Amino acid sequence: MKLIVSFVVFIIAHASLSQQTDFNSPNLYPQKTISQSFSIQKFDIFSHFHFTLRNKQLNYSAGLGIGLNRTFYQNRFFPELSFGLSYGFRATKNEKKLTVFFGPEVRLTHALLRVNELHQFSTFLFGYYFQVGRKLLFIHRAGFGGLLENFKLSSGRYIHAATSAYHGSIGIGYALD
Amino acid sequence: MRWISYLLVVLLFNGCTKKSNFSLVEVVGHAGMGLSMGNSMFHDNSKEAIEFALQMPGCDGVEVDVQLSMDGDLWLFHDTKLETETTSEGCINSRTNEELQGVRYKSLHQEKLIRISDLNPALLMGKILYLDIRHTNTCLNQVITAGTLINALNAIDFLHQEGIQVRLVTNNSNLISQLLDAFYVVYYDAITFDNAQSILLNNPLVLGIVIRNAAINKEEVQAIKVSGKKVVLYEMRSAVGIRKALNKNPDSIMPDDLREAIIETN
Repeated sequence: MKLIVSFVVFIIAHASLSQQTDFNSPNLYPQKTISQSFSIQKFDIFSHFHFTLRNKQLNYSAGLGIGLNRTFYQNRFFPELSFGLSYGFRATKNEKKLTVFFGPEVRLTHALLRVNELHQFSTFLFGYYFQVGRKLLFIHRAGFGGLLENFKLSSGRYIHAATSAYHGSIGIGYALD
Repeated sequence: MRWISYLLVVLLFNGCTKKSNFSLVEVVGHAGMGLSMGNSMFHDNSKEAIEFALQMPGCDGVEVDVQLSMDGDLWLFHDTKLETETTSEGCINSRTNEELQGVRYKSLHQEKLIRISDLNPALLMGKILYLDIRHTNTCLNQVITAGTLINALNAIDFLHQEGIQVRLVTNNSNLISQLLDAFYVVYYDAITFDNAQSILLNNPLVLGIVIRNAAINKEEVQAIKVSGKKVVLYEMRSAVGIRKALNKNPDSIMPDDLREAIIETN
């Protein structure tokens, strides 16, 4: 908890001491980004490839990933689709010309895993998105929310269970513009 | 580029590893969906966790921890003190059924503490139910008597129903003979291989042992199986641990991650 508070204080301090950029200026902040990230989630460690598109203060991202333990260690393909929407309440450019984007993010994911029957895991997560850099970017996101697991029995009946979910990821990105 | 090629070859090599066939090993959910597991959907020993596990194709049964209340009913709870996991305090054995009725776990779903009789017998049909008997009242420093325990077990009708395999697990050697006399299937909760051997030698009607995965090796598992007894391994919290346990070729495993274990045995 102390670490999270320290991180938030650092970001806010950094943002407030820096020059605020104009979100409409394409030269100061990347509009199209591709990235690769690793995230810790409830059922596995995932590796994701993301494409992110910025429209003013909104960042839209779509990604495709795989659960590393299940796919490579247990020989069971564990793909996950993810969609994120983040709102940059602060984008800044400091003395070193580094652009920082920080804001809340809503994230939806859907993963499939065959455990005898096909299990589907859907999550709705609320967290934050942090990005620093101009051409080469460091990206971090984390969130907490709900998870719904369901699978179909041979009788045709669906079994559902809901619980909490989390994710925390770090990655690197490359600005295409 | 050379490193990327090397990484891809390593990943492909690992991804194509042929697995052994472990389909004959029974997979039994430890306390439902796993004991104190971060990725479990529900709290261990709760009705929700047990029923979710039993409905999962590939799960052969569940293990639950049972303790007697002051009124002589069997309640499902793992720890010695209620305050560690629930909204109440004290020991199960020092509480009446009425006092335990509204107790809930301090978890996200706040699942209720339940009795064995609260379980749905229809979901247990064709499955194995291990009852791990907690025989000590830590609050009063007393040990339950075999008679009280047998009365409590006899009072639950579905435990004697055909189609439900009930197996009692105890680490109290004094309870064994009386439980066997009451026609229950008994497994001994052993600490070491030597401990298991001496108990099995003195109690030939004990069907098998339940032992920590780390406390026994492959040769020792085989030695017990050769003597005609069953071996159940528990305490494996990762896919690596499950695979190590399966390689010892036990009769059953009690994994803390049921999904991982079902994947490994299929």
